[in-house]
Amino acid sequence: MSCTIEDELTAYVDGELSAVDSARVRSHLTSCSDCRSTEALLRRTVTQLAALPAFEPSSALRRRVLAEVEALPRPWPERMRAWLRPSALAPAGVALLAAALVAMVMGQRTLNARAERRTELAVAENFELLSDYEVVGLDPDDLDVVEHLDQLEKEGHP
Amino acid sequence: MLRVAAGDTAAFASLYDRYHRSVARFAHRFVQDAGKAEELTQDIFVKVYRHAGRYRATARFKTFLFRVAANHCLNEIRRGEYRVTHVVEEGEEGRPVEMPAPEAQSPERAVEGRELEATVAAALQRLSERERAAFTLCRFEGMAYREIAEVLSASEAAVKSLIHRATLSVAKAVEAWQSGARAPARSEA
Repeated sequence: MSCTIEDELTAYVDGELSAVDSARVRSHLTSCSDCRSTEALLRRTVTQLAALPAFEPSSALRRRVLAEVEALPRPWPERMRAWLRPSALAPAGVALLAAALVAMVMGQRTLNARAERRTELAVAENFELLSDYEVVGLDPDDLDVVEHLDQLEKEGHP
Repeated sequence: MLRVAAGDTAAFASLYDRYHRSVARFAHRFVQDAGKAEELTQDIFVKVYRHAGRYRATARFKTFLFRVAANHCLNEIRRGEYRVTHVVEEGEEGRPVEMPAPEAQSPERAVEGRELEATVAAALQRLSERERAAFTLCRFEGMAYREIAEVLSASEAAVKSLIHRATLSVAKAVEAWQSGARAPARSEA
């Protein structure tokens, strides 16, 4: 057998060739008796193989496989699920709630402390200006009056 | 498979029930021994369970499973773990391969079926391991060439060539057996 197309015959029999290649093989088969007999042999064999009885594993194999799998260490996702079960979760939930309350109280204190610190910082930033007011005998609360002095005079305030 | 990856053994059991025959058949074609085929099948399914997290839904599960199965069988055979100790020769009747005989067959057809099985088994043992794997996946599992290429990490062209060589080789062995087996019958007639 010297036909190069012989290599395509099994794929042709299996219906694995493209339409173009399949047509090429079909056309070749009309003129090549060697390839026709090989094709017939391949078709016969494929049919015979399909009729062969299949090996049937024992039912004991199922038990062995499942037993081996059960004996393996549990994977992480399953361990996580076990931790998240209600019975495991209830004590953890109580602890979490207590921790949240403590955090809230501590948080409020921190906020108050931050507000105080912000005022202190504003005073520190304007310390020089505030000192000047004291030198001229002004109270820092009179800042508004100083800023709007012109307007107040126009309105007839002394 | 996501459930299997999360350790759901019931999901794994249903996967086993669906695919174990295919895997066992594949392993049996490799080693031609029922006990060894079952050992390989067990190893393959335990491997699938342990590495279920690596499965990506982009591939068909059957492709993933047979990739594990083919790699395992090829590796074990290369390591010499499952050397075939008894190849049933053509025409040898002493120890048929463990196959259930179809009940409705006549005794003559049953004998012929066992001989054909032995001929195919012997021809398979003469193939390279990759030819045997490609041939088995194609002829006994009905996989398309593209799927087999994925299972064997090969190109489709390579798979086409593997399957052609293997099928032609088995076909010639079957033809030789048939011409030998049927010649005496014709001469008696």
